[in-house]
Amino acid sequence: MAFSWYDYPAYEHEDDRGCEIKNLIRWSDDDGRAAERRERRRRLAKIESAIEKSRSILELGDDFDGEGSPGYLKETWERASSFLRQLAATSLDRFSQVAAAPYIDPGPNGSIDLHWKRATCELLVTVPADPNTAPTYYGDDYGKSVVKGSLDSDANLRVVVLWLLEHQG
Amino acid sequence: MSGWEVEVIPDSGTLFLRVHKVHVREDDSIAAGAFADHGGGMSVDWAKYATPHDTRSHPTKGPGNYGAVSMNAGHVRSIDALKVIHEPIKDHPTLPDNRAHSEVIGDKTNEVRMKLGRIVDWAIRLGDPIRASYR
Repeated sequence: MAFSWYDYPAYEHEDDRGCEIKNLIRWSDDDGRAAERRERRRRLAKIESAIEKSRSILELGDDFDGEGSPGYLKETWERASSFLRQLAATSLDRFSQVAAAPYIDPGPNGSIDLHWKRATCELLVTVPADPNTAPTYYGDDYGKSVVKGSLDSDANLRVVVLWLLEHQG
Repeated sequence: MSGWEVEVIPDSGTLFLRVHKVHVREDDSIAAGAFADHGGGMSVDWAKYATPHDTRSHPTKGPGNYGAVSMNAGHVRSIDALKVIHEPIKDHPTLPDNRAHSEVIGDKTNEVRMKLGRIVDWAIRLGDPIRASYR
């Protein structure tokens, strides 16, 4: 395994090199943060890719299905994307794990579905078209473990995140 | 409105549901958005009076935009108190006659839609050849 110089603690360079060492330390910190950001982006790349791919939902106009279904508002899609980013960030920051990317699908009545369909569990979060209504969720592990409710608080978001991380396999 | 007798669909009965291409994913799985109410319930056709080709056909959009899935009536009823009701259409001002027409009644919550997704099988996939409907 190759190490770059900033993999070593800065104090190892602090002996007889004066100012030059200070710069090295600053570069070390900057490069370390940049590396962290790169790593974070890498770990969240699948989520971002799923969000970008789902942008095509916005092209669906009223009665796209011949059943009279309404089209999808940009605000709803942005809300769904924002929620998913929040879920992914919570997974990483609070639990140091990466949440799997869900399917992002057109749901009923202008809502958007985030659907995790795994071999070990299934979770469906629906972001409604009405911005004043909280997303709802239901998940189970095809057996006894069930989670359901409304995502109207950060506490509920953490419950969903934790459940997903425990069951996604 | 109906000129046909309303019958009881047995638990062993098969139902067909039309699925728009928007609800079919790249991996051929069916999105939960396919299981939605339009009007009073989720419209399906009872296999006693319809083929999946009949169900796939659409009065205005054409069959090429749709696939059809099948499900067992008893399995549907086992999900969170859903009801399956035969509701034939005859001489409706805007809808074509359809003796097979039936409704799956009950809230299509996240739980219900997810569980419906587990009990369906493809009857006709999106890309399958289009055959004549006798309706």
